Amino acid sequence: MTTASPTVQSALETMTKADRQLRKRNARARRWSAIYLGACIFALIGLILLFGTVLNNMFGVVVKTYAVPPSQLSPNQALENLSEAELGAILSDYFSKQNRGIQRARVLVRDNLLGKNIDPARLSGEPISSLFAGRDYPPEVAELKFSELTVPQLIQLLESSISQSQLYQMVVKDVLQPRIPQSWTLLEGIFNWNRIETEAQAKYPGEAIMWHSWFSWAFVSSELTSDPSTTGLRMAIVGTVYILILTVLISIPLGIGAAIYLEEYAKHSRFTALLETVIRNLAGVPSIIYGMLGLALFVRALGDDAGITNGRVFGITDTNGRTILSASLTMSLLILPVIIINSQEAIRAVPASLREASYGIGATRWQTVWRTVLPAGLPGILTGVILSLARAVGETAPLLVVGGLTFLTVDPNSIFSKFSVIPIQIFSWTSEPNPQFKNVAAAAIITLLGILLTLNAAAIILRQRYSKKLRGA
Amino acid sequence: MQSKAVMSEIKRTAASEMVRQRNETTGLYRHPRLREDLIRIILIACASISILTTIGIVAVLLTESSRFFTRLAFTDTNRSLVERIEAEATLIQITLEGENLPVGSIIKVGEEDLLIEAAPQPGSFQVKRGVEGTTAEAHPEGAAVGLARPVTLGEFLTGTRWQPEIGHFGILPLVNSTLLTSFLAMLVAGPIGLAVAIYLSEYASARVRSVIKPILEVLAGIPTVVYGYFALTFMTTLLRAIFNRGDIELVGTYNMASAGLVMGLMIVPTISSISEDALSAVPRSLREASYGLGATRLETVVRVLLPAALSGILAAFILGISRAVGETMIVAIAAGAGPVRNLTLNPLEAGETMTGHIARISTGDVSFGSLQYNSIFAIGLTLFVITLLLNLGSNWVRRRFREVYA
Amino acid sequence: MFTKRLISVIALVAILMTSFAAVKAQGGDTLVDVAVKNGSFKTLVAAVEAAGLVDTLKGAGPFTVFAPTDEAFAKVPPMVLEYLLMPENKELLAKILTYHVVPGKVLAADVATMTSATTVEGSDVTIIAGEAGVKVNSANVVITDVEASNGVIHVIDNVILPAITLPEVDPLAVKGNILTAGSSTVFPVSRAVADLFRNEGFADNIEVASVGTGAGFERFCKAGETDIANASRAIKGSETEECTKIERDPFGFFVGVDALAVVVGKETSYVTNLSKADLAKVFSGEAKTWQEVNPEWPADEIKLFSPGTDSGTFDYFVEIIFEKKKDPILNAPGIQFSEDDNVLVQGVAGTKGAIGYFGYAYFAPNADKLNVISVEDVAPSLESAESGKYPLSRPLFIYTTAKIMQEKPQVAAFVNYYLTVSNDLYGTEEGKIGYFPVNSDALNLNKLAFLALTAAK
Repeated sequence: MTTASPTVQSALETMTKADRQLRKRNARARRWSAIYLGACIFALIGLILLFGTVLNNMFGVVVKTYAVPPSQLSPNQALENLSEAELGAILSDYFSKQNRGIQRARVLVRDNLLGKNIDPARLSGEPISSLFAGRDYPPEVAELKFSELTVPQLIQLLESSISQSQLYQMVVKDVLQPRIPQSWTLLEGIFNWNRIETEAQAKYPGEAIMWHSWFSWAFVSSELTSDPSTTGLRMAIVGTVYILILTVLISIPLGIGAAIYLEEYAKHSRFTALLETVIRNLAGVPSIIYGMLGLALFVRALGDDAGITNGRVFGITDTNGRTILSASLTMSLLILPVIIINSQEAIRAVPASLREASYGIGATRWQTVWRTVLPAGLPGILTGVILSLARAVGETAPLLVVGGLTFLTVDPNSIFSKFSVIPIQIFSWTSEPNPQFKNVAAAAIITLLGILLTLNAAAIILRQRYSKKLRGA
Repeated sequence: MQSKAVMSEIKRTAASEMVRQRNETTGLYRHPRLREDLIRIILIACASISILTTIGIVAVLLTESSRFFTRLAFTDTNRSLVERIEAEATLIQITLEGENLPVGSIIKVGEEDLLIEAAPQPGSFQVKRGVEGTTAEAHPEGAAVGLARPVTLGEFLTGTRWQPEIGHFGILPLVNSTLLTSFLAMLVAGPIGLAVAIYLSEYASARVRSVIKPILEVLAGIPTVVYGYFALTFMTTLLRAIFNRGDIELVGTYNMASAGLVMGLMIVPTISSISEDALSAVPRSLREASYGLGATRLETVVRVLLPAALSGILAAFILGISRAVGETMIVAIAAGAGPVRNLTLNPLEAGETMTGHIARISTGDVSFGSLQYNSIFAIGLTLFVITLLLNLGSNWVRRRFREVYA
Repeated sequence: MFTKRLISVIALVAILMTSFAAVKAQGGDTLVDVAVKNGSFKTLVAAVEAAGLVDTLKGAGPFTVFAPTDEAFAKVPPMVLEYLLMPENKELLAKILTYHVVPGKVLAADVATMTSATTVEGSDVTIIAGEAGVKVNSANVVITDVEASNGVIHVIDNVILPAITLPEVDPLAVKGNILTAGSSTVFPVSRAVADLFRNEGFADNIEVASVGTGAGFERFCKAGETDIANASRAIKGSETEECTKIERDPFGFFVGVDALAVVVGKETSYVTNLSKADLAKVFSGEAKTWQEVNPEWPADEIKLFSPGTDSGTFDYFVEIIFEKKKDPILNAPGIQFSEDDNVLVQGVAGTKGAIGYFGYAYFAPNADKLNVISVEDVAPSLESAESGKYPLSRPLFIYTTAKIMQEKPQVAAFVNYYLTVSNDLYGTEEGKIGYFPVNSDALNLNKLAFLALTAAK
């Protein structure tokens, strides 16, 4: 055994040193890769916390109180099992005793049997036989006017035409009038059930606490009211859908048109360069500034002054410039740059060979665009459009300036209607002092996210279907 | 520009005249040009809407803010009426202490503006009633007297107090809050977004990508009002639980920290997706060369990729800042209102950003004729200019980056 | 508004004191003669003539008349007086005037022992005898026992009104949209009324936009785009002017009272009453400890809590306490502002020596943690707020015009309904809105104004 020569020794030392260093370097690399992954996990945790917060407020524990306790109305039997006649008797009895009970009875008959939109003149002018032509009604009321009917007669009309479950709903809404005076979150419910129970017993003796989901079909389908226990979101949903559709109709042709011009027609000129810059910058303008533009342009100039967005030139007088039309125009301007940029990218991605083939067989430029480029680019364009629409659905600030926090009593039914949208309701409920409105806001958030999810799913499906079609062709 | 287009059309028409004649004999007709031209005009019109929108925004903001700069602001003089004055009175008595009221200046009592025409005795003034479009009305004894003073652009841009109620219109406190929340947001979004981008571009397997990408897309798609709700109900509660001990209340219900941090979460996808694009645009050869030299992945990332993609990443950061500066709903819900303690650097305090102020005033109790109402357009203009500069900067940086590797 | 009223009352007392020294001697004159000779009852006399009640009041009697002065009538909007003086409204006028007359001769000493009296009109007036004097409904008796040959006159500073019934509204028969916008304070009231109106059969749209009083008047006066402006303050001169420019003549119906509560924590319970001057001293930071306010109190440091500077509550407080000057409160050292009333509640409750203020609605549910203090020796209550005695209470209004109500019958129906139901919406119980109702005289004056506005052609 010879001792290694100094050179080998030092080489070995260098190697082990290098080895150690390498190990150190690798360790550092691993550490940092963990940090990078950590960043991704952070984003995931953020998302989970966000959804968790919403769900925590959307589900929870509540205590319910009633104007008239159910046990008092029907001591021996569950209320929902009562017969139509018994439920009718409860309603009849209650409305007869109430100060303006007969008015409610009339409203129930109108809404359920004649339709909410019946002309008030018909309602007050025609006799029952004509109002209820083709329906069951007791012969003795045939010649009476609607306003002459007594409470029992009105309830009798209801009983003969609607189902037991509908009658039960009426008893719940008008007689029981359940309210939720206090609520606790999901986590509080899970961890502090006993404390909540004693607290509720002290404040609302005799009332049980129960689990409750603030998001429900009833919430989505019923109208806005002033009470968090009964309010729904329907008007805001209808408003959102209206604005969404109108925005689509306005912004898609304009956006795709502009994109086609920029990609297929425009030469490299200063004008084109300016256009490109302007569009990119518009995409970055804060949305609230679009609101200020919308207010000045669509609400004031085109509305109050020109009478277009408030429908004055179309003979509509009982609205103002803050309509669905104004909101949609504002939203269209807001998402236009995004649509243009996305569509440009999609059009640019269409292979040049397709265009050349089209020109080769003698097609004009527009024919090439219409028959070749657009169909080929459509999946990409549609995806871009739908994603920008998703932005429009969630946008709040510009509509806050154009419309404001509003309460409405009916659904919007034309482009000149007043509106509220889901994000505005969320904002409005978030700033209410009554804590139950926070729960309602959470339920509205779930609805909004549901709509966004649907839109995104639609984008994916469309994209897949079209790309299949293209491949098949 | 248009004449150029027409010229080229004419040339093309002439060139294809022979083709046309030949086609006539073969039956291959060209479609009429008229339709093509019409379509072109329609398309140009579509594209021009963006220019019109920009002009519209600038015009609205400029006209409305010019109204702000030409109107009078009133500062408190600490003086008040000695006795009640009726709507017709032209000689009025004002208490002696307080600011000087020179002849020719305009003072405000209640809703009314009065022009001082003469000052026969100290504290006694000959005035013209109901000037500047206001109406003369009776004022009670002790009514405060304000002194008119136009708001200058200099004061607007450099003033350190934003208290429109008492005639202070310095935008810096609003800018301060905006920068503070944006800074916090970037403190979260910058490192996290970049790290996510690096992970996605250099480390993640296809499977991991397919998990992380949708998360980012969902984060990017969540409406800002929902982020606001999250900031108020979760982040604020968390911050209060951490910082508030016993009687000491460091964190209020409304604070800039919760808004800023949640805004950071919102901006992560913006930064990560643009940075990722920039990283993946770095040519493979650079990576391969680095690995070939025996560099670890980390070394490749830090020493090769990041410098190469720097301009793209910078563009992403600038865009992120621009989004943070322009974000409205999160700050409107969670950051609070009224920058009373001016120019604070403590994010645990409430503060009001430019956007938050616009949102509040345009839906608030302020009278529409007031100077404060006009001021939101001046703020809007400032905001527009700031975001415009940021966006231009981002685009400029990105174009440079394109030139390098395209 | 209420300070104005106070000033006018004081002025009135001064005037009447001198003028009645002479009146007392004229024992032989009837009630009407006394009034005519005095000269301060021109409107009343004219009204009595228009209603054809001269002979009655000159009759044997005896009567006790609560006579409102011309100044009291001046508080009634002129168009209401015009309306009442129209020949076709003779009956209504007579009803109102006879409500001021109680059969029999009731002298001041007797009045003080009564809680109510039945008038010639048939319904009762409430009588409250307190340290500050006697009140008949919302009116103060400023001069007592002016004797006439056939009765006695007590002079009052407000017109008192019997229950006025408005034409019944059937929401089922009302058609057309209604647009309202304005104060976020009035928002919950208008929203609740709209909700009820729909519940009783109205099938079209009522929009209630919560945009703030100022923006509400912008929409109403400048853009002319709404039918009703909700306001938590009276309309300003500049706003009225804008309204006039677009030919709108706004009228404000007084629909509720929002009171501010000044509160201290339980540890600071020695503070029970502060004058307005004390409040100014405290909220400007001029007084650092409670001892500086009142030498009998301990030297605890004062900590201030206030609602945010853009809230209507802040504006109102500054207006009343600092006469609209915001400098002192904004520059008060260490003052905490918060937009969240719960933060204020917790801040004041948890800090020794702390004082704060907010809407009375927030005090009621937190009464176990906080003490509400009296201002100028008046504690906030239903009675003191609706009478305007409590200095920190502010009126809530809805503004509309006669023209709008004539052109859009749905707006008239809604306003009518509003005046009928809004008072029942207030209270501190669960599900109620935490404001105070308007007093019966103001409510009936609203109703009279409504009749006048809808009748005018």
